[in-house]
Amino acid sequence: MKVAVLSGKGGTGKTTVSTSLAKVTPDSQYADCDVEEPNGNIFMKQTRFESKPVLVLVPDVDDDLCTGCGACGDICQFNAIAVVKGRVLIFPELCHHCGACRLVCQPGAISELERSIGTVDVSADRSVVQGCLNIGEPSGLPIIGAIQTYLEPNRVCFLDCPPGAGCSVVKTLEGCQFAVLVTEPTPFGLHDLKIAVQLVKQMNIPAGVVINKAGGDQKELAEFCDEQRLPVLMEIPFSRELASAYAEGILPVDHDDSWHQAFKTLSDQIIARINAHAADRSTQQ
Amino acid sequence: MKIAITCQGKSLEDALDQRFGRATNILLVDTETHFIDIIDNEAMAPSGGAGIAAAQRMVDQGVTAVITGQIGPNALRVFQAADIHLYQGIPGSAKSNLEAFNKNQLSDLERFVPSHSGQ
Repeated sequence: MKVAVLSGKGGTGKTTVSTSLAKVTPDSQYADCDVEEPNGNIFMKQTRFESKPVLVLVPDVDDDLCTGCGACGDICQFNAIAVVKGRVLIFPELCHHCGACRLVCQPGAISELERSIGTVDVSADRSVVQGCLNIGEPSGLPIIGAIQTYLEPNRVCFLDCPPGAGCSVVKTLEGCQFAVLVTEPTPFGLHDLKIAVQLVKQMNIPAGVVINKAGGDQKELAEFCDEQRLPVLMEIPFSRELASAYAEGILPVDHDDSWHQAFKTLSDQIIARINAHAADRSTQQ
Repeated sequence: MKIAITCQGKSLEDALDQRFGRATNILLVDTETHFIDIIDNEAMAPSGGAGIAAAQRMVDQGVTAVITGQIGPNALRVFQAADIHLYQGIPGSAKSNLEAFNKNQLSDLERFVPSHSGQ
């Protein structure tokens, strides 16, 4: 069972919500898919990790076989190959590893080399899986794909999405049965929530909203959720105390029974919604 | 010889475009016939690798020199492999750059700026 936690806007509380959910849900897994800057383990506090390289395939040209025809450069949709004076220049960091250049190479001059772009780190009990993209690499998608291979179907998995609503969020959402949309009652929070809602609707993933830093005027946000028929699953009040504990690596669920209970209720609610949705679909079929 | 000038518009009166890969247009000027060809460069590479794509186009067009403001590392690598000479453009119209080029007043463009500077 996979639950994605996303927001559109950065800094709304994806990590707070996803790590809290993982902590209160027995035998769950927490997956940090924000591979450009994974920070969830600051809260999960696992110490023993096994680190595995994530490898992608990039083309390599045998100059003795290459005729300089330029077919590889023409087929490449990502401008990762230039052909100059009969010589092939490869730009590995632009390559999307599709292998088209190798397929179109008539003399068979292109082979593929493995290149490491980062790691997947798996804790001993697999309760925490995090991806880490090497500095300077443009795309973490293969790492997010690798993280998903360590998620077990019979455990509840909470996937902490990267910010935004781009390819890396889409990749994280693939195969998820529910999306928790974390937002805050600010114009930016609402603006990006709208984008996140469009995304989950298009991907046909049921969703609910958690309002973080709640308080003040929330009318516009409440109206939007109402209009979109999005259930508001939880509100976390704006609190200086919570924020300073967070800065120390302490979550509300770590030291407060009522918060523990509140997140447990949220977790139960999400699981119940996923089960209800699955039952709905099976009766429809 | 054929030279290329990155340009914000479609005529020699328009200003030099400081960007190479993401230049709005690239004017190709034949120094003998004075024939000008306009390359619409904007929609060339929406997903990335704009510098490489534009540089490949210069190679395919048989350009021998390029006048622009800034160049990224990837485009520079293509130009070096192709022996295409790069000149540092001066603020002003494409025409004033062309005149400065003809009088040998433009300096070489050898340093590159970080990727995506022109985005």
